[in-house]
Amino acid sequence: MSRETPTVFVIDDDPSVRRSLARLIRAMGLEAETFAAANDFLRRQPFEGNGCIVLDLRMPGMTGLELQAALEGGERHPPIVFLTGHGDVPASVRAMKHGAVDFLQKPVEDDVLERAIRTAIERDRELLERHRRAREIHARIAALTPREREVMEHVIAGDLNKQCAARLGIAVSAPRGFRCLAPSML
Amino acid sequence: MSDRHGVLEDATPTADERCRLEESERDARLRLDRAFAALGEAVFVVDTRSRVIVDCNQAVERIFGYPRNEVLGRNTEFLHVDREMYERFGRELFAALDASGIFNTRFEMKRRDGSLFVSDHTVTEVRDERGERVIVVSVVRDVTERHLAEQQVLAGRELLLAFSEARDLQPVLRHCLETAIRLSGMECGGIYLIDEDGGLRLAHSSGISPEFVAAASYYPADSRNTRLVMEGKPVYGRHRELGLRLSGPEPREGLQALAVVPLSSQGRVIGCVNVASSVMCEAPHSGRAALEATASLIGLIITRAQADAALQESEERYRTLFERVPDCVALFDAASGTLVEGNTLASTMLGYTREELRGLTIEDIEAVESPEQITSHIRKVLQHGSDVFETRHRRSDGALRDVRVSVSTVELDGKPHLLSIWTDITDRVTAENALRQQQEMLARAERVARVSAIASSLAHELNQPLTAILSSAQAARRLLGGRPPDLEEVRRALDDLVDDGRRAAQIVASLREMVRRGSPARRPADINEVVRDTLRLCRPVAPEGEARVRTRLGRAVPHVLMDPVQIQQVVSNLVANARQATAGASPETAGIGVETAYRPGTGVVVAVSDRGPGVPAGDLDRVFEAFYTTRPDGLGLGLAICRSIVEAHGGKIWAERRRGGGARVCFVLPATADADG
Repeated sequence: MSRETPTVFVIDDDPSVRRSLARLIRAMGLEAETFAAANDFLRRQPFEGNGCIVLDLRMPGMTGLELQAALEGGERHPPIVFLTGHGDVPASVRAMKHGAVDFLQKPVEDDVLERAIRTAIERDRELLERHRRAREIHARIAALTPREREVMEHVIAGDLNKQCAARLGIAVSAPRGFRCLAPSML
Repeated sequence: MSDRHGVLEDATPTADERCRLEESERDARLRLDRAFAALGEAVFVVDTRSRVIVDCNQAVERIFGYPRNEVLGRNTEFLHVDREMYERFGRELFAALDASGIFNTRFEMKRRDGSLFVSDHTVTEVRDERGERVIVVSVVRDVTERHLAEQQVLAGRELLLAFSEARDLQPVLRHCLETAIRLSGMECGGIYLIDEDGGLRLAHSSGISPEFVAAASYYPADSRNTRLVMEGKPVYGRHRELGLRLSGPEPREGLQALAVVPLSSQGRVIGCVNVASSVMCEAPHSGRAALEATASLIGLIITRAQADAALQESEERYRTLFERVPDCVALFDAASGTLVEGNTLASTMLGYTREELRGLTIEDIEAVESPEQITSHIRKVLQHGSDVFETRHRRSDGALRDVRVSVSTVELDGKPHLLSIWTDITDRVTAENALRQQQEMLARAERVARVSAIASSLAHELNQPLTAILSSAQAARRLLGGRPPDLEEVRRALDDLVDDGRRAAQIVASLREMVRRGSPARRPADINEVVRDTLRLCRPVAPEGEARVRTRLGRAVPHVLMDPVQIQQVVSNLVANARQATAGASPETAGIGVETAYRPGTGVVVAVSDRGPGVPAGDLDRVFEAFYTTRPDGLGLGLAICRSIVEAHGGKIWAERRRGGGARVCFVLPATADADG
């Protein structure tokens, strides 16, 4: 939706890791925003733009997995790339099951990290696009008259024009017309 | 006599003859009278029917105190102790005369002044022509003196017997009671002794039925009977009149006369001897003084017998102890080093008989010390009074046994002796050697474990700066490729690189310190700081996303003298264990807790708890054994290492079951504050 530079949120309790990762990400031509704790990120204003999260697993306070769970409960959130000092199998499986883009081990090669970040950003862009389209459709459906909405429901349910007309007590031409119009209406 | 009369009448003697006869008859009568009068015994001629004294001799006055004329014509009752005795005397007398014509008895009689005395009576009868008993002639001998002398001889013999058997209380009581009964002139009785509650307990009895014994076996301290005895004065009387109550139902057995004589020893009443009679109405006065005199002697004898019995008991107890102690015991003469006495266990262990044991010397037994060393060792023991040491004993078959000896000096018969108590520790020494080997193995395994733990720790701890270094370097490379290159940012990246490189070096240095071996560096340190450092250091070991550690560190925890690096290792081991126990649990339920607290007098306690599956109750002690593990991939060394470290610090480590599930491992280290206080 936006043509702005995607933003990468780096969440890690180690300041030098945070700083160096941010520098590397900026050198990749991306925006970087850093947080020392998961809670700090949650307190940030909802992010509407395109981006992703580079998340440390183990942190004081809320852990990476806890943050992932918290984000899942809410609305759309930027995809997560886990970056951890000690990745064990159960944690990585859990992270991936819950939609993490990748599970990387520290220290990480810059191109490996960049690939993961770019994949995450691309996935976010798609998500964002789908999200935007869904919102538009919701807006158009909301704009239909009650009668038009009835016709739509029968057409979506897969009824033939005739059946549809008989049920609603309308001319066969109405559902046919709706089918022609629907793509532009919705 | 009537025959003679007849002869005389028939012979019709002459006047001379008659005169001579009369003279000789007078002479005979005079002689008879004189003899009658001179008799030491009192002789009474008593009318059978009225029991009135018809005649008596002079001795009556000496024995009874009555002039002859006061006696003549009087019924004999006044000579008896009382009416009952008078009647009994009559009954027994006539029964005996009917049976055999003679009555011998010993009876108590009363003098004019009211005093009583014991007398022997010999009574014969005189019958008339029709065979009717007309008069009785009673010869009364005062035997008080002789009676007492006889009794005292017997009493002396009894008491001598009692003395000779003084080791055993029962025979002593028996002899004493027999003596008392004999002296009293009565026929039954008992000895009561004051028990520890101050009550009177029947210790021995004679001549009374079991029912009566049961009824009169105990009088509590506050009973009237006991109070009466405790007053220390003898009581005489009739059973009924004295109003003494029995402790049970009252089978009085017809007891009449009763004497209660307190027994005392060293001014203290220790009990009483009761003597009673169902025949006599009153305790014979003649025996009372003797009874009382003997009572004090009996008291002494009983006290001594009790003391002897107690001594014997304590000797027996000592002997039992000597025999029954689960250790070898022997007594040596310190001067010669000769074994005087040894118990069975000592003889078994050394392989000698009890007899062979006596006469052995320390040199025969001791297998390590030379004779000179033994001599100086004995001198040292005599000087200090005791010693505990380990050595080796040689058995009779030459086999050597490791022993731990505890020796102390005792004075016996004025000579110094050595009381030696020893335990065979051969098995223990063997076990110790095995244990030492095991510990060496453990130490090797510990080093391996340590190295791997350190390697893992090093890897994790270094990851952070390495990540930063790599990222900064790669960022710098990218920045340099920019058009135009952002040199300012490259410089900042290089600055960070230097910092992170230094940080990595520092980590390596601190880890090297942790690995450093050698004597542990003990210093007073704050346990809370050690726990915080440990948690910081061992954090990378925790698989991410697993248990978080909640700490509750006690306030005002005093310093502990410790090697902080070693204690860090203990804490990190415990935390790692807790993590592994809760692997797979959600962070919320894993609930690992580290607590510290100061318990005055005990020390500083550190507790690490988790909510994992816990430890089976029976294994709470076993978890500290090497190679105990519940994990398929575990070596089972972690807790064993922890224990060796904690114990090397003079502390203690233990496992508990956590309330609500899970395990709790605690260790305590002695606080320096406690050591100072």
